[in-house]
Order: sequence, then structure tokens, then C-alpha cells
Amino acid sequence: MNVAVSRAGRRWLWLVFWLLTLFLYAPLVILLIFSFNDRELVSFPWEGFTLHWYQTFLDNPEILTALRVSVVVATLTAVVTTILAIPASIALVRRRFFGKGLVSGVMLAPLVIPLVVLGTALLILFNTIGIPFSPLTIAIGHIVIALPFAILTLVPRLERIPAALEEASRDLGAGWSTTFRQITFPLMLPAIFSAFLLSFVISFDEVVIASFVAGDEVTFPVYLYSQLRLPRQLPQVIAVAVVVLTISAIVVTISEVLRRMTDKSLEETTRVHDEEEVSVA
Amino acid sequence: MATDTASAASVETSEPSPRRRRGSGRWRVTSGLLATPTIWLVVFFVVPVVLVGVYSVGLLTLLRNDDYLSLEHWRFFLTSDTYLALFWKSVRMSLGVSITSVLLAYPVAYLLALIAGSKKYTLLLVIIVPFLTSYLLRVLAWRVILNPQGVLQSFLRSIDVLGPEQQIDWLFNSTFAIYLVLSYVWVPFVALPIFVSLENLDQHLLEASSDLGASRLRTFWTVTLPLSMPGVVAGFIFVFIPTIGEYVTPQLVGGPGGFMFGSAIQSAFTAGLDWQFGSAMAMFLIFAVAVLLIVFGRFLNVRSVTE
Amino acid sequence: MGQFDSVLNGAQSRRAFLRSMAVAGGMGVLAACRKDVQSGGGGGSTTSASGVAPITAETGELKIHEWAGYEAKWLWRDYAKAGYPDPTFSFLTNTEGVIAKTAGGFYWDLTHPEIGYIQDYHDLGAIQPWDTSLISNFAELEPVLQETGKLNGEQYEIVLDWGYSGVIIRTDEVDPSINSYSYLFDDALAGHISWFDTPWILSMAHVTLGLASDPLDASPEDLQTAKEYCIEATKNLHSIWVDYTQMWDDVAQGNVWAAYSWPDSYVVLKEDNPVQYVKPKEGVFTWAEGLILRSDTENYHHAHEYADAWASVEVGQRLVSTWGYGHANTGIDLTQIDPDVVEVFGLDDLEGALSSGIFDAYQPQRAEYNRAWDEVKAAAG
Repeated sequence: MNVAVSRAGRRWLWLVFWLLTLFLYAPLVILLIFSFNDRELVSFPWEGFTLHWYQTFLDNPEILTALRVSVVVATLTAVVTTILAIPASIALVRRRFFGKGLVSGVMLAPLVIPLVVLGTALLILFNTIGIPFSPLTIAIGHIVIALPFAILTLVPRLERIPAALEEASRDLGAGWSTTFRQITFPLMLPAIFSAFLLSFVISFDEVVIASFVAGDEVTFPVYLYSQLRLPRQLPQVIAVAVVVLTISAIVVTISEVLRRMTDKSLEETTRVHDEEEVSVA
Repeated sequence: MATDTASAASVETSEPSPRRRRGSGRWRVTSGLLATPTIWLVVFFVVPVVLVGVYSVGLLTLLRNDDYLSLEHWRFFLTSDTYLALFWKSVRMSLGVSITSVLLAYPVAYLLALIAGSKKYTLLLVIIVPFLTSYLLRVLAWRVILNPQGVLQSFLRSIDVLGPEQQIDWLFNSTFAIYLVLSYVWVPFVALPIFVSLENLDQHLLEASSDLGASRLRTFWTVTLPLSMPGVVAGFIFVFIPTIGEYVTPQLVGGPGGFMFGSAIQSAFTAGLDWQFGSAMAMFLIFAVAVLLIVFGRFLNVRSVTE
Repeated sequence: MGQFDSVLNGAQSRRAFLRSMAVAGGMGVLAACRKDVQSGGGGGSTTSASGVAPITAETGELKIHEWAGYEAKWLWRDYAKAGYPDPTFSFLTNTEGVIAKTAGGFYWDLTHPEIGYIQDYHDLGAIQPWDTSLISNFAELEPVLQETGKLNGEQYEIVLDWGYSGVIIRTDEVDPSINSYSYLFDDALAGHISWFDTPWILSMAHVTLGLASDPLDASPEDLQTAKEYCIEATKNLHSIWVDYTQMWDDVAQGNVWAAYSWPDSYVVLKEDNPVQYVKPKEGVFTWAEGLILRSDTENYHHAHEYADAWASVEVGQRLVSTWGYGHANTGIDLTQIDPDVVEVFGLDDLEGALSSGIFDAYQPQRAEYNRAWDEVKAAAG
């Protein structure tokens, strides 16, 4: 018997899930359809099928550059954010230290700030300390706003990994490094994956900070916002969005397949840990 | 990727340290863990925020019309009915949107974490993938769906649910539209932390509860929900705080009523070139949210996250 | 008539060409001749101003901070044809952001602000006046427009594209003979009015009410009156549009009968809809923008060549006919332009049309206007 849900409840939950999926995908279907509409306005009526918008964006080096910059910035953001968030959340969950309230406050505080303010503030700061505007400055800003999201994703997972498990490992003579590699990290992996993905998405879509601290190379969302001035190019931008979505869906699918292949071995270890955990408890 | 993060993080934790040793050894581990992220945030977040505070009272001026050393902008803000009313309007909207998002996301996270089995990560990705499309474009797509001549109402007319001249006014340029689209934007962000906390739930506990004779509902109320609260709180905070400063979606789908506190800050920093006033409003928002967080924290037992 | 126009315009550009030759003078003539051979005629002249290194000493790597879409090569075709290296473009989302960035040390050689912001860039010390003698097409540019690009008598902006902020109305619902900004406030149109999100609405209320002070720099009492009038009118609003597509949709679908609008929406919408573009009798608010030159640019001559390319009659022709924006070049062949567009812009009597309007200008009370506008929008909730 499944203790989480009854059979009827399960059916309801699946219904909710698929309705939500419909809800999430409906706007995308709309974008897909209108990327083929032979009309400069993104609205009805339907005026015939065209591939024109796809052809024009491939000839537009500025859009392609903007996309490339966005991918670079989002990747950099996701990597650095994850690297910073892992030790930070371990310290917040596992360690007792003076001033913890203050430190955790600082870690989560970027959630509070309106992006337009942070954008302006960073602009002043970069000027004062002489950092030239570039994709790097965009990533710096994005890491600041992604960090609390990553920490808040990691902390709940870490809290559920019994500290006793790590202590047992060290009692058995394993060092910090070994304990982290063998115990903590594998158990945190799903949350790390989530944190990475979340940071990537936050950066990939962010426009306010990016428009303030971008240099010569702007990201795709900034280009897109700028486009609103000439809305007759909008269908072209939507065509780009459809392509981006398709590519990212493919990438995500591939990484999912890869993850499943590597997961097999990980599951083994986790099961052993789970049993240990029970015996420790 | 995963190996990069692992090795980088393990550098910080590689110091051999018997767990019961006291004093400087422990402190070195802790500060090793915290040093880089803290320095990062101090330099790129705390310092800029202090700059904003300094700017709001005119200790630092950059623009032609700025007043040197002046509390005038604070006075104007705190004595103005308009701006404080806007602040509360934004808080109300944010609260409504956060609650809606959590209610929508919880059953889905529950399903994925506890019921979906081996498919769970795949399905989680199904939910996240739409968010690789630009936010602005998705909001624009909602406009195409919701507007009076849009997909939804045209469809309702074609099946005679609506008369040819009828419109559903509350569907577009309305508070409803703001709630709908913002919840749409946030649901995956809320689903993630709830999913993570549910996934970490020891299934043995549920079985134990059931073995001891608790019904599923009782198990949910007494075991599952309390244990997933850190995820719920995290998800709630994910939505609540950024939404207070939100202005793009209300502007695009909210109609004339879509002007929010965030819009006022935005326009002071852009159209008005009124940075001192904008800074004062921004600092107020930062203080207010900090206070709200502490209150919520007490209320929802957020201490496990922040202490 | 049409043919007569084109002959007249042809004569005008020839005159302009001769004038620029005279101005260039001396060795400039030689340079001009050489360039004419290269580009196959037209009115080109290249000269080196004293005190500035010649064009050959420059890197030619222009950094241009532009609106997205304005990087299109046809807008600077002559520059590309002359064999200069392609400029590097970056993109802006709003002019105020660029001012902030520039105050923060962001570098560009050229950017494209509205005339109301020239003063802000000047105050930052970021810009220098153009040497109009280096721009061969300058003499063809409408002088009334170029006057708006001046500050302290010097040409800080080469004003290139322009348009009106008038009202687009649906003639099946609205009486065109009223011909006033009152369309944007009228109780008779309740529920079908759409504003743009700009403090200029306050100025439009100001002229509708016939208040005495300058509509862009009102006395405190007049600003208060205009604000209250707008707040009262929010009950008649359908929406405050923030992006163009939104408003076009609403007009096309009949949700909106009167909207704050630039002329290009008329060009798009008139095909399928009973619309008219109104330049109100109070005087139509007129915006203009163009290129400003960085004070410490290392590509002084390249920048002038670039502005020259933008100023050409071919660019003007195409900008007007495809984008529905105005262009400052007076040599545009009106026979090639949609007659409705000619009429809406008043292109057949450009000076007359422009001098009856109210030009955008630097607003010393920008913050006050913005706060008043905040109050109006807050009341609309």
C-alpha cells in the first residue's frame, strides 16, 4: 500500500499535474503558432503560414551575438553561484558560530532588493572601483541575485541529511574532504542540480540588472526589451524564442538521459546510506 | 560540472578536523566555508545597498538636480499618501500571489516527490523547461490568450458560451490577470524547494505513521506537511519578496490598475531621473521587507533556515 | 504635382551639394572629389578640422549605443560603402539608463537620445558639438529640426528621425472634427481611451485646458491643475499602454477609440481599420532624436562620416516609407511615399508643420512631473 496517497487521490494529483502542465505550456504554444503567422503584429487574425521570421533572424548577427552572450553569462552565473552556495549552506546548517543571524541575513538579503535599485547601485560601484562593463559585470550581478535562491534550495536538503551520518564517517577516520565527497555531496546532488538549473534560468531571463551593467555586448533579454521600440521585429524575436526553447528542451533531454545513466551507481550508494541512517537513528 | 563544484567545495572543507576539537580549528573551518560567499555579497551587495542609503540622504550625488545632504526626499515619501498606499497595494498583491503559487505548486511537488517514482526528475524538467523562454514573451503570450479578441474568448464565442458582442471583463486588464500571470511565472520556482524538501522526507516515517494507525490525511497533516514546511517557507519567500517590487507583469496585463510600488521606484530611477527619491523608496522597501521577513519567520518557524 | 516636387527636391539637393563644396574649401575640395569618385557621385566632402587628427590617424572602431533595430546596415550604407570598418553596436532600453551608465563611466562614441536629453549629456561633460561642415548632407537637413539639436548656439545633436505624439482615433466612434487633445480625457469616450505611460499626458492636459504657463515647464499651480484633471479622467481609461503592439491590437479590435500615438501606428493600422491620425489644434507634441558625439572620441571623423551616412536622402526615403518615422532630410521624393503618410506628417509643408507643433525640450522639473504622473497612475487603480 502506498502511504502517501490513495488510488483516487493519485488520480486527482495526476489530473492537477497535467492541468498545470497545460497551464505552463499554453503560452508557449501560442508563441509557436504566432512565429509562423505572416503578420507583423503578434495577434489575430491568422494571415497565413510563413517561415520569414526564422529566415530573417538567422541573418541577424546582433540577435545571434546576444544569444551567445546570454548563454555565457547564464553558465558562468550558474557555476559560480553553485560553488558559492554549497559551502555557504553547509556552514549555515552544520556549523554554530557567532553572528550567524547576521551572516544568514546577508546571504538571503538580495531577495529583498528591487532589481532596478541593485542595477543602479552596481553601476555606481563598478564605476568607483573601475571595473569595465562587460558580460562579466552582468554575471556578477546575476550571481548576487541567484545566490539566495540556490542557498534556499540547498538548505532544506542538507537539513534532512543527518549530521550523524557525517560524524560517523569522520569517527571512522575519514577526513572532511572524504566525508564531503563520499557522503554529503552525493546526498546533496539532486538539490545541487536544482540550484544550478535555477541559477541558470534566473540569469538567462534577467533584464533589469543586465541592461544597467552591460557593456558593448548585451544579453538576449536586453535586446528583446530594446526591440519593443520597433515592434515590427517582434515576430522575429519570437522565432528566436521558439528556437531557444527547442534547443534547451533538447539539451535538457540529453542531460536527463546522461543523468539516468550515472544515477544507477549513485542509487546503490544512497541506498546503503539510507540504511545506515536508519541504524544511526 | 558536478565534479567542478565538488572539487571546489572540497577545497574549502578539506582541512582535517576532529569533530570535537574546540577553538580556532572549528572557526577556521567555518570561516573557510563562509569566506568566499560572504565577501562576494559584501562587495557586490552590501556595499551597493549602503551606497543607495547614502544616496537617499544626499551624502553622494551624481545628477544635476540632486540635493546635497537632504532629508527632503524621505520627508516627501513618508508624508505622501500616494506612495504608502502603493506600498500596501503591492504587499497585498504579493501575499495573494505567493499563497496562490504555493497552493498550486504543493500538490505537484507532492506528486513528483512521493508518487511519481523514477519519472520524477523527468517530470520536474517538464515543468521547468517553459521557463527557458523569455519572461516578457511569455507574458505577451498571455495577453494574446486573455484579451477580449484573444484565443480564449474567441473560443468561448465559437462554442456559444459567449455571445458575439460579449466580453469577460475580469479576464484581462484586471487584478485577476495579474494574479494569474504572476502565479504562472512563479509556480516552478515554488515547486522546486517544496519538491526538494518532500523528496528528502524519510518514507519510513510515513510508513511508521500508517503502521501506527494514522489515516493518510492524518499522516499528511502531522508528518508530511510539517516536515515539508522548510520547503514551503522557502517557496513562499521566493515569491513573496520579489513580487513586492514587481512591476512588469502588472503593467502588461493589469490595465490602468497595474501601477505598483515597484513601478514607482522604477520610474524614479529611469523616467524621473529622480534618484534620491527612488533611493529613499528603495531603502524603505528593504527595511519593510526585512521587518516582514522577521514577522513571517516567527510565524512560520523559518528559524531553521536563517539560524 | 508629384513630379514637380521631385524636380524641386532634386534642385534642392544639388544646391546643398554646391554649398557643402564651398564650405569645405581648399584641400577639402580635393578630398571631396576623391570621395565622389569612390562613391559614384552624391554630395560627399571630407575635410580635416584643425586641431583634430585626420581620419587616417583614427582607428575607425566606432562604438555606437543604439536602439535595437537601428543597427540595420541600410541606415549607414554610405559609411559601409566608403570602406570604413563596421561599427560595434550595443543596445539601450531607455535613454535615462544610458545617462546613468554614462555618468558611471560607460563609453560610446555615438548614441541616439531624444532632444530633451541633450542637456543631461552636456551636464555630464560627455558630449561635444559637431562640426557640421564635415557632414556633407547637413545642408539638406530641415533647419527647424536642427535648431532643436542646439545648445548654447552649438550643434550638439544631428537631429535625424522625428515624429509626433498625437492621437489616433477610430473614426467610426469618434468625431474627427473636434481635433483636440481632449480626446484623451473626454467623458464621451469613457472606457475606450488609452494613454501612453509618459508624463507628457500632463502636458497634454495642460494644453487642453489652455493653461498659461509653458506646458513642459509649468508653474506649480498649473501642474497641480493638470494633474487633477488627469486624475479625474482616469475613470475614462481603457488602459495605459506600455508597448506598441498592445495599443495597436486594442485599436484594431475596437477596444480603444482614442489613444496617444506616434504616426507610424497610423501607417500600420490604416490598411484594415477606420482610423485617423490627429494633430490637435492646440499644437502637436513633436519628438525628435539623433546622434550625439562623445567629447573624448578618438574617432571624430569617422563619427562625422557615420552621421553623414544617416543623414542621406536615401536613408530618409526608406525610413519614412518603411518605418513610418520622419527623417530630417528635405530631399525625400514624396511621389514614392504613401500620400496618407505625406499628409499625416505634413511632409509637403514640413516647416509649416513643424513650427506649429510643440517641440520636446529639456525639462527642468522632470522629477516633479514624474511624481505628479505617479499620482495619476496610482489613482487609476
